[in-house]
Amino acid sequence: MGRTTGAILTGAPHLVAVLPAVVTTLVAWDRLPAEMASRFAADGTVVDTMPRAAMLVAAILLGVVMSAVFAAIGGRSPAAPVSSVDTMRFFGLVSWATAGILGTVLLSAVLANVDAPDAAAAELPMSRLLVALGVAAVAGAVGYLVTPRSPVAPPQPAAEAIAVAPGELVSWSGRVESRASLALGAVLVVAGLAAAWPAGPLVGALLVAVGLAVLLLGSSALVTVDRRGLVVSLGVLGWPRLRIPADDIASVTTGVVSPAQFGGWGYRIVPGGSGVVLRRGPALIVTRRSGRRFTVTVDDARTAAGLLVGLGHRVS
Amino acid sequence: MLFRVDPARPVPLADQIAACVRRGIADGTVRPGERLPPARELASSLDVSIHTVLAGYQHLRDEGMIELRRGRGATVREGLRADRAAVLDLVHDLVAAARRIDLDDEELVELVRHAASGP
Repeated sequence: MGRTTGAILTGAPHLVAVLPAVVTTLVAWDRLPAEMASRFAADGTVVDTMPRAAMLVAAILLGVVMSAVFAAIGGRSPAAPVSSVDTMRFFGLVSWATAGILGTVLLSAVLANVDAPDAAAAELPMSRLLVALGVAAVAGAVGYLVTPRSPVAPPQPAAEAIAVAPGELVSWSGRVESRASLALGAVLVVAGLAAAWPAGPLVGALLVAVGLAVLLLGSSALVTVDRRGLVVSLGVLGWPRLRIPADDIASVTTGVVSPAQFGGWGYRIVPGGSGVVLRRGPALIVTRRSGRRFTVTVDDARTAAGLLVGLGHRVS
Repeated sequence: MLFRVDPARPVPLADQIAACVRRGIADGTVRPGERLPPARELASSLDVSIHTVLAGYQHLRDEGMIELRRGRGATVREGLRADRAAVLDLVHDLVAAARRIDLDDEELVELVRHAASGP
């Protein structure tokens, strides 16, 4: 599957999803109140209203923005498999299911307004949410089926074992840093301090706390390979730590991975695998005895992989 | 970076640890400004005493290869040239070779001085 096909398959559903609401709004323009009900409470009564034209623009914008975001993630280039599950097809499922919810909710909201004398008379029963979930389930299944298997990068030459002599003590370590996380953390801390005055100390403290967490946990990682296996210590404090014991490692490989495969940066869990992904680029990919994969992006991953393989030979 | 040491070799472990860093800098895998693994981490990773690692790091500091700072840990000195590390590596090899044939330290220094003053 090419990048373009992938982008269309994951991006287009959102554009299509807003169409029924947009078309209905245009066709039934004269039958809609000038101020349309735009938000509904759990009991179906109206909470908020919006001018007709704004509602139309909002629906189109939602479709375009969601479509662009999903297309950007979906249209990625071939990369090393990071999970026993095809994360790309799973992403197709998520994309189509959200499009299903988006389309049904928008259309229901517009239909609720048709022929209503004013916004307050509109009503949207909670049961429509169940309909939306049903549509999402069907659309998700279709999305999974129409997404072809992931493009797989040509397999890297197998990690060449670094011979480890009996009695020899070995340790490999590499540090990986994320400028994106550093910048994000700094921005959050500054925003928190700035927001404390207008938005209240609670919001400010929350932003600062999240920013500090990103700075301390997500900005760097120390990757260590030794007789015990693989250890990834997160952040400047080197804690928490993720450990994969040597006897739980079934096979080791390296490859180029991208945060898109994990849906973002940081410590990520995806179906069939997990990883510490702080940047795009070379990564050490370990398959555990359970078949689950663990990925960590780090420079010189080939040496790390070679040492893990070499240590495995010495043990057996 | 890769550390590999062998207690069975006659060279003290601290010297072997220092040699790993020196070679890493010489072949470019360790760059100026890079942080070495914290001594405590490296000690438990290699299964040696923390004093051994610290002794190795102190050798490197005395040679002007790294800086040791409280809180910051060990970092390779900014502006350090890879070929300087390569030359230091050769010096250590030379000393080791001389010791293997029981050459007197004074005599070795004299030989080096003589070679350096030559054409």
